[in-house]
Amino acid sequence: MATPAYKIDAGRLPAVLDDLARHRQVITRMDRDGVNVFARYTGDMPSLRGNGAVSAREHFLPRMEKIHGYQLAPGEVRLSPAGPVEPAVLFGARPCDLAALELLDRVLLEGEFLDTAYQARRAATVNMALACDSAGPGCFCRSVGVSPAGTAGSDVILYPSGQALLAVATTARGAELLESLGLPGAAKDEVDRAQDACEQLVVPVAVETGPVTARLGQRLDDPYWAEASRRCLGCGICTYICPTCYCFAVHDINRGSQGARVRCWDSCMFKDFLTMAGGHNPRPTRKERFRQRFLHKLQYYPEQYGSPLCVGCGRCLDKCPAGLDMAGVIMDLGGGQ
Amino acid sequence: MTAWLDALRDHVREFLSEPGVDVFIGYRAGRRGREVPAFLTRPEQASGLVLGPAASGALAKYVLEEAAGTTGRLGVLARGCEALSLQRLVRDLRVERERLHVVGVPCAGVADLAKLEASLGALEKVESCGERWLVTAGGNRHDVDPSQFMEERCRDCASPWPQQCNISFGQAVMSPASPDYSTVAALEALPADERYAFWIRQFERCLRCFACRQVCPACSCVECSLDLVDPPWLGREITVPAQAMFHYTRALHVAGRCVDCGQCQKVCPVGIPVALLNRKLARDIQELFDVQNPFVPGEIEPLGKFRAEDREEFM
Repeated sequence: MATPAYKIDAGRLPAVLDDLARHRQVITRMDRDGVNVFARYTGDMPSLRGNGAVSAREHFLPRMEKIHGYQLAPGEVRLSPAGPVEPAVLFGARPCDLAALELLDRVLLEGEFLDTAYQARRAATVNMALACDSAGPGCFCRSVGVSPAGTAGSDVILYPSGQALLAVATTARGAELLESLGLPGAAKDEVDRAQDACEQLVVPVAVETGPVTARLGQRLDDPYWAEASRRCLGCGICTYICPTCYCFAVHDINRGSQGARVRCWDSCMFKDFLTMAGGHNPRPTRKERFRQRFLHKLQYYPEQYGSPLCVGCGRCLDKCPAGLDMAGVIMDLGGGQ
Repeated sequence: MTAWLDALRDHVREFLSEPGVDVFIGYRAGRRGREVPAFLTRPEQASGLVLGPAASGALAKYVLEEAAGTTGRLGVLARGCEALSLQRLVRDLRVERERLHVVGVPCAGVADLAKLEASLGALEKVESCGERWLVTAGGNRHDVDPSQFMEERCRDCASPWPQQCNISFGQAVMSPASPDYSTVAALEALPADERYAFWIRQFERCLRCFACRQVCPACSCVECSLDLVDPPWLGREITVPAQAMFHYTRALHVAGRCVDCGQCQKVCPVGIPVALLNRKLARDIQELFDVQNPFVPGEIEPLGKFRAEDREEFM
């Protein structure tokens, strides 16, 4: 039996979101002072243009997250748990952002060490992806194995069709959620047309990562890194807007005899990121820090997991103040024009 | 093509042939219609210099890294805001003026590339042509009105013509008599609770990526107090009060030294109007300390020197 498809007319979207929000939080995209951000749905209409200034990763790996609370008592330290994770629906993230979750899963959920907080958020969140029927100026998803209609990481995929969204489940829990909404069905040919339009979408930037990954191992001392990193400003924009960056630092927020241990985003582009106790910094200059970020994405991760750690969302192409971005570096290293 | 560009390239070629010269910092063509910072070290590289509306970087700040650990001379291409930024670094004793060779060029505003791309598609080239811009995007050429696509920070620029240069090219541009504080006035007209709500909404988006600090010519401390872990002047926690504290601290640290280049706001990936805070403080300084233009580094820093006649009605 074919997977059922449903239709959400534009006028019905608020009611659908209200329905979804009844039993769980709904995270969607809103315009705040002209900036498109992921935020909790509280009744205002979402804005599903583009892919969001900051990636959907922040729902799964929040900017700050409590690990546990603590209280000092005579002779002991009492720990209190971080609290339960709320069930959620992520509505309107693009296929690139959701494909990124599968790349993060390999690091955070497979192997010896398990990131339990990330695992809990992944398990508690149903992802309703919004397929792309138009591309942003920096998009290069196809070059890194992601499609504008891709379903990796999603539970439901939404295809734009005129003013409506056509919803198709891609997992069992997605099917269950869609069924519970009581939506009208969508005709198969309308779904096929909408899906085709997304699948055939041309994205503006094309690169080739394969040859670059193969060569990077020999290029640690390549003068390219010193020359290219000269214009890096050393800010953390690229790492913080990126759907596939996941570094964090652990801090204690101490207030007298109690406090909380939290983890916050951290960036390998920051000077102090790798500073050790005693003051030694193995990546003392921008050259080493800049190189590290690209080697991680293009060499270390591919060597370990078989694909680049990038989904071609294009955010770094749009936002790097120095015009130093993933696609550009790949091209500089011989991966395309 | 700009008429003086060839003369500029010739000059830079000669400069790079001189003994004791380390680098010339300018722009070269990047991909997707961008013009990116370039670090030229050989005379033959001068022919690759470009300068169009797409050159949106901030060259002055690079002087810090380039000058560190070297003793040679550094050439820098400077539009109005970049020349002020260089004066700032010199006045803050971060680089010796004698080491700098400042090459001034006129500026009629920098293109908002995101806005161009949103309306015209993927960019290939942005050129200046008289009073207009010629934009190649999405495979077509468009003749656009710069005022529609200029970066916001450039619209009310008070210093388009670079001052205190070693040499300059092109036609001098008149500067307005006083900076424009209309954006500050508009916000000040709101009731206090609305202003508070406005800023909290902005700070909620802050990622603490430090791009505003990294690009700022007035943020040139060797060690930034906001990076210190012990004592933790800035809480590591990412909460709205900590974000607000970050922005207020930075605004006060650059007060009296901000040159209004607007880069802090331009680079912010989440659209926080950072420059507005700086402008508010600058306007207060202008009014309180009788400074003609608080964004121009002067002999006497208004907040760096006490004068008996300073107003102190708050005492």
